[in-house]
Amino acid sequence: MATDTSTAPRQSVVADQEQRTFRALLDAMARPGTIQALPQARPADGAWGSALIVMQCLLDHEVTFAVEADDRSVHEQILRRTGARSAPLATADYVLADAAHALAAFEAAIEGDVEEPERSATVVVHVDAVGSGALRAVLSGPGIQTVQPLVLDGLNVVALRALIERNAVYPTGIDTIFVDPQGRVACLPRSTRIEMED
Amino acid sequence: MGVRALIEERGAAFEGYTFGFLDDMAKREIRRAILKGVAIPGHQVPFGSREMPIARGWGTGGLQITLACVGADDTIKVIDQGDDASVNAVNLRRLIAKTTGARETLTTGDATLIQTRHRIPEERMTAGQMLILQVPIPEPLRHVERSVAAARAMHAEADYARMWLALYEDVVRNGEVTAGAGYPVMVNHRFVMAPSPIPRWDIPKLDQAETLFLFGAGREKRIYAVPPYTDVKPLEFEDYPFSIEGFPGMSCRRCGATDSYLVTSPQADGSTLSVCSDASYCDDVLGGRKVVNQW
Amino acid sequence: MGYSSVRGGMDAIEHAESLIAAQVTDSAHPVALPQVRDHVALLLDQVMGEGGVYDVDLGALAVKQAEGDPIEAGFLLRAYRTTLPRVGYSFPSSGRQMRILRRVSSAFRDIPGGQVLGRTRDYTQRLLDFALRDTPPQATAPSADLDALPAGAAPAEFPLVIDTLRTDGLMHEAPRRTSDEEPFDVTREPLRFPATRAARLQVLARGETGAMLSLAYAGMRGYGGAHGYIAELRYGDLPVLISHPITGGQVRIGWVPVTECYQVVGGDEGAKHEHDGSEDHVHEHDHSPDYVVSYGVVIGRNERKAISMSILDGSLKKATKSGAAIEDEEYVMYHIDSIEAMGFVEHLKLPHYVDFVASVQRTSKVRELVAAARRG
Repeated sequence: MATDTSTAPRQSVVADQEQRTFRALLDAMARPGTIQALPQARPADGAWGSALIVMQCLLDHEVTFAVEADDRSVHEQILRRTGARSAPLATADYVLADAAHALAAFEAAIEGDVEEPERSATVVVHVDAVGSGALRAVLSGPGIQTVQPLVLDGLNVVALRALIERNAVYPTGIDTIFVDPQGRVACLPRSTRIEMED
Repeated sequence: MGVRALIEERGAAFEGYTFGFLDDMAKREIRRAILKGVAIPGHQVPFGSREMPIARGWGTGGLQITLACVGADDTIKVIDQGDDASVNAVNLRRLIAKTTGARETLTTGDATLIQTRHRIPEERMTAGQMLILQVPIPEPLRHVERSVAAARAMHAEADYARMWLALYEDVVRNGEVTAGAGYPVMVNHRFVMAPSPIPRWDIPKLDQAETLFLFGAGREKRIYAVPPYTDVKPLEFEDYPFSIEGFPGMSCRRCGATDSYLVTSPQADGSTLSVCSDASYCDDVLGGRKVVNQW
Repeated sequence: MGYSSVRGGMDAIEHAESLIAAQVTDSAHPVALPQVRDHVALLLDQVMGEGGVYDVDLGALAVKQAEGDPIEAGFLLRAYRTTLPRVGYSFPSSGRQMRILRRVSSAFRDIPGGQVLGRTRDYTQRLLDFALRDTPPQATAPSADLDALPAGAAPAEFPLVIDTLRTDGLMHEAPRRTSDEEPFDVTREPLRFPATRAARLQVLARGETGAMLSLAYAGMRGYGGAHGYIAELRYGDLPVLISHPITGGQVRIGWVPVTECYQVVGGDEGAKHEHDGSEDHVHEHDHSPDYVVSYGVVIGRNERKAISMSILDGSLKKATKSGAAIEDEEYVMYHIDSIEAMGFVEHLKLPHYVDFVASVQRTSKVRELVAAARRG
């Protein structure tokens, strides 16, 4: 078309990755339970690579974060790459948890209040796999035409029940992003109804 | 490092402006607000709306969302009143293209991102697309409660009694809910939302759609969203049901369509000229291309 | 329609742009930026203040490009400001550190440090000076020299008049604040109400001079203003101090010219003010002398706005409201921003024909219903 774009600025590699990550997260949040693909993580980042990509996309020094995981090295990585401020779990805007600590994160993360329900935590849970595994739930609600399965590996059913509990009083609640080491991501916004499959 | 050096490091193309005009922090903040908005359908999320190189009230909210979303793979379309050729739409589209290099299109079906003012396209949008609506007044309660803080409390309690009362008084006085463009809707059975000044014709398209709708109010600093497959119902009384505009006996002078939203212009000879407001749809009908316009 | 009409829209825009460009550049007497800086300095100050950018060169460019429209020029600066990275934060500067060029008090005949009339039109006769019609034959030294300190003179620190009031027990001590407290930033965060005083002052400092003058005037005429006294109005340069990246010590990287207004409201008026513990004091006991300060601070020389700002600050701080608009923080803070106001008012120029069709159809429907009701 008509506009001369020859002088258009290029997106830096980092910005390009953040933009792609955001679009994957946006699709995942708008269509709860569907599996989206994140950009390729740095091999050097190992298993945390995909989770780090998500944190890098969302965090900067305007927000706070907490890490709930046995491996503390990822905390240092987030601090260094995003400039976000570290905060206690009970006040952090963004929480990164491994599957073992997801329960603690769901129980303690902030849920906002009815006037400002957006001032609530987004919890990123690093699981073994998104789209396969033992934990199965059926989702319905905004973003889902009828029902949508959610299948995860590595997350305890107790944790998911705690999340259902925390999100019982809409519109306050917690929004959850599940990522796995293969770069698959699925979201569970607070507006989603979750039923456990037996 | 000095300020100058920092700016230069960010690339000197387009007179020192960065990709997508906004800096990375602004984009990140907008992205965070969008995700929260999607997670709480119909709830207005405040954001630190940046000053844009176009005037407040001229699409800065929609533009900031577009620029925070757009990437190298996107194809963008911008419409104003349904028309790609409207000068403000042209101006916005060239700004987006100039600062991102994104592909532009006039065809609804080819676009991945459509920024719009006051219309939802006739052609049904799909899951691979997003519609970004420019919003002048995001607060649907503004005419019953002018205080932002008080309106916020009303949303918190889902206390829409005054809104219903205003609609009721409207019916009593006028025999109808007289709201034309921007008819208030209930989203996901929880939040009353301003759909932006789209005509009633477009309101049903918001309900259980395949596509994601994002709303941006730059001057009022609010972002909100309607995810796909979400219940969006116009506020109505059982005995005074919501109805859309109708164009009985009229057709588009250009393409002949009888199933699109028509806009009229008075002619020098005293007659009235009616044409499709949606330019892409008009072109499709004229070109004999089949598009699905049932949402 | 389609491509050709879009091309038409593009052509129209490009022609409009070239007409504007020609207007800015075509002249037998083209204006260079130094002339903007030297000859329309007050406009430049207003633009930089409302635009939220202190940069004389960029400000002069904006004024020239906007054909002297202060709101348009401020808008250009704001849009440019958006793209600038934030490289750091300065330390707070106090008015006590000001390099004074003018300083007057209307509350006292004499003040410690003395009154400095400085550069003001207040006591000049407003007569057109026809001698200015003639271009001077040669350039003269920039007038900025008038403000310069004598060579070698160390800038004296002038005490604030409100400090005297505090010492005299007419006002309470200022609360102590930690300097590392994160300031609220209205350019980054959306306003939430009730707003913090920092947010209020930031919005006021960027507000449009004319809008603020008008509201302050309405307040003084009885629409919610408090009658106070100007304890001190000062103009001068404030140091910009940052932490040295290597040594960590404070270093001065420049000066910013500002106008400050300290207005005191006392007696019954003062008692009506809220005591938020921010800038002013907290009540210790009920019978203490009770003056509170309302504050205005503006980039550059703009006394009209600084005084207006102090009046609005005072109105917004009132604990007992009369219901007047200028005591309503949403009313004041949302409506004094020139960029937002002009954008929304002027957006009425955009096409609204889709909405208009919707409106006409409703009106016709209502007419039909009324006619049907009349017929019974």
